Amino acid sequence: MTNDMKKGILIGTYFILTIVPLIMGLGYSLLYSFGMAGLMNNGFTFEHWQKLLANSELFITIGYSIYITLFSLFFILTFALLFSWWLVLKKNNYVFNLLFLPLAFPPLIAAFSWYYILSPAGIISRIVYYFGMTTDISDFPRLVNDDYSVGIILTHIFLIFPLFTILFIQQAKKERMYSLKEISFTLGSTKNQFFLKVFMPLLLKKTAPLILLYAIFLIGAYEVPLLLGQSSPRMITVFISDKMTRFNLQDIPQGHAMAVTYSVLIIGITTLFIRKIKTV
Amino acid sequence: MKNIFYYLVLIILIISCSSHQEKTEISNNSWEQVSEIAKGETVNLMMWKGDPLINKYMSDYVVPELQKQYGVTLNIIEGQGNSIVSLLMTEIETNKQKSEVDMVWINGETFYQLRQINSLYGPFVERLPNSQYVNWENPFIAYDFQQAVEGYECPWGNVQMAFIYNSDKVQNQPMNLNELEIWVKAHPGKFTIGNEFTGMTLLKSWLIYLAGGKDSLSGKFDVEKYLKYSTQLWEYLNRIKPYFWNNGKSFPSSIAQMHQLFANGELWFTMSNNDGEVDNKMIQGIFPESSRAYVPETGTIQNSHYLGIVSHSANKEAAMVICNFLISPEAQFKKMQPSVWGDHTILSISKLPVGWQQKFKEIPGRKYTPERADIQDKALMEPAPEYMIRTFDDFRKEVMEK
Repeated sequence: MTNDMKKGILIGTYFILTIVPLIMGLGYSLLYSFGMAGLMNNGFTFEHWQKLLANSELFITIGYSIYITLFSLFFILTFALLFSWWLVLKKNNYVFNLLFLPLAFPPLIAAFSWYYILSPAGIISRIVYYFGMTTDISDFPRLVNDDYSVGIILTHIFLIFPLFTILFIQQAKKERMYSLKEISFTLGSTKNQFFLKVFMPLLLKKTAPLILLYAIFLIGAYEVPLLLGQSSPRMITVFISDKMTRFNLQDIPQGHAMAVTYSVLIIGITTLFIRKIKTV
Repeated sequence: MKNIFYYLVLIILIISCSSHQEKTEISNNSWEQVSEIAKGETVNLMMWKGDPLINKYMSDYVVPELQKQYGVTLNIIEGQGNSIVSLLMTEIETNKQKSEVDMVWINGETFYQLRQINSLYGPFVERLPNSQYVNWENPFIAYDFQQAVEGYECPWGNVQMAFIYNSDKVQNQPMNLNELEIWVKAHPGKFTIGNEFTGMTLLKSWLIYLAGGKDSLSGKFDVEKYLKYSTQLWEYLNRIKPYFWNNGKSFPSSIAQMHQLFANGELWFTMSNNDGEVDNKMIQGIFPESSRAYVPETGTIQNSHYLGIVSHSANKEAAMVICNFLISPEAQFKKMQPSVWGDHTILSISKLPVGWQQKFKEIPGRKYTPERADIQDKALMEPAPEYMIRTFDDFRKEVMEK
């Protein structure tokens, strides 16, 4: 087998496993949203798109999903940078090994765990009650299903911040950060200056593609916002799932239209990012 | 690349346009022949498996009895409502000839959806020998969401919605909407409504009450009536919503979540579509010992749950044998015991042989919920399915998002 043949087989396999299902899924949703596929449709129509676009919840849902993604990422990256900075300085292998523990949690289990920790009947509330700091279950502040999505953001931090910490530590080693630090200190730089001007920008730049991937993962999160979020607003995936699986079968095409909107949004962000990388 | 994309879209179009369902011919075999064909077959039943007592009834009693008496193997798969509809829709859209599922446990909402997509086999119920004992004279059994069952689903059990409350905390249960408003305002955070089937059933009960009670919303969907009375309902709910659990900012998305909030003391009220559930949950040790059930004077919806056979099932005969067993006096008697399931029978006791009549009369009474006879006069019929669809959509728009 020649190298060209091997290359062809590899590309073909990749195409069949990734591109084809993506195009088929997106194509099917597109047809469904225009009334051209599906049991409940009767032919080409703009009706489902008109209904979706006339619904203010579409924009609230997208805005809310972006809010959750940006806030989660901000805290994840901040904690991961600070923690990796501390571990790089301390070279603490014991703590480093502990970082792998949260990675074993599937999102649904993590969401349940945080629910039992943060809910008014949860572990923290019980401890606080035991020490007489609250007198009733309703005295405990609401941290799940709450206005600011504290529970969702905390669960995302718990699930993803260790991964970025590990990644930053490995990247720091690769970039010989310890040596860079010694040199910059010798040249009179302070810790803060080194962190802000070298450590942070270098690691964020080197891991930018992965950060984008996790942004896509977070914007499409389902289990965590389903369990820990409010009934309204909803994340995009919860919105789509509700439209596709609730009582009104006539809503299914709107669910598909939303799925197309979501896919276009993600493809758009990714394309912009790739272009930016190419131009840098 | 461009060409490949166009071809793929074309293929999908062809597949989607060619999806159709062949009409199932109803077998003319005698019941003896049906039973003979069923022997040795395996039937997949998709049902909700969220209750340990129901699961125990199925696995410890139904499955072995079916094998012993009829040589039929029953395989139970987890799934309910929307997952059943999604699965069967996908199968029909892809023109699948033999379904993964032969039988489904459904209620009115799913029946309405499955009938819309023609995925139920029938009529078959009149062919079951035990259907002679079914209480077809009872409109709560013969009609499902105002639709005649017409032999497309076999009644299995009958339930009425009930409020469940913690009697240690709630001394005087609110009996109407005014009393509930006063109670909710006096006890902020202790009451809520689920944004799911049971919650919507409660809202429909209130809609019927506001419209004048009992038969006020009977018949086909009346948009004028709906708009008039739902407006009153949304006004009422928005007035008391700030005093709901979590200040009315979120609503439980499942009845299991409601029960959990009730069990851990966050809520002092929960509700159930099964009037016998409080006994059932207390036997399991899930609810506090002070839990009690009641039906307010505003009335609650009573409905039945059913078994359907999938139109493209390859094991219809065996599925019919199972349905026949599940509506037999022995299986219904066992199911009605509060310690087994506590599900009310769909059989007419007076139609049963004398020996069985006596046995049914001797079933131990409920401990923590009123007897069915005492709440029957407060039973409301399910209105047409469109009321459910509109209520569910508008509850989100008019209450949750405001």
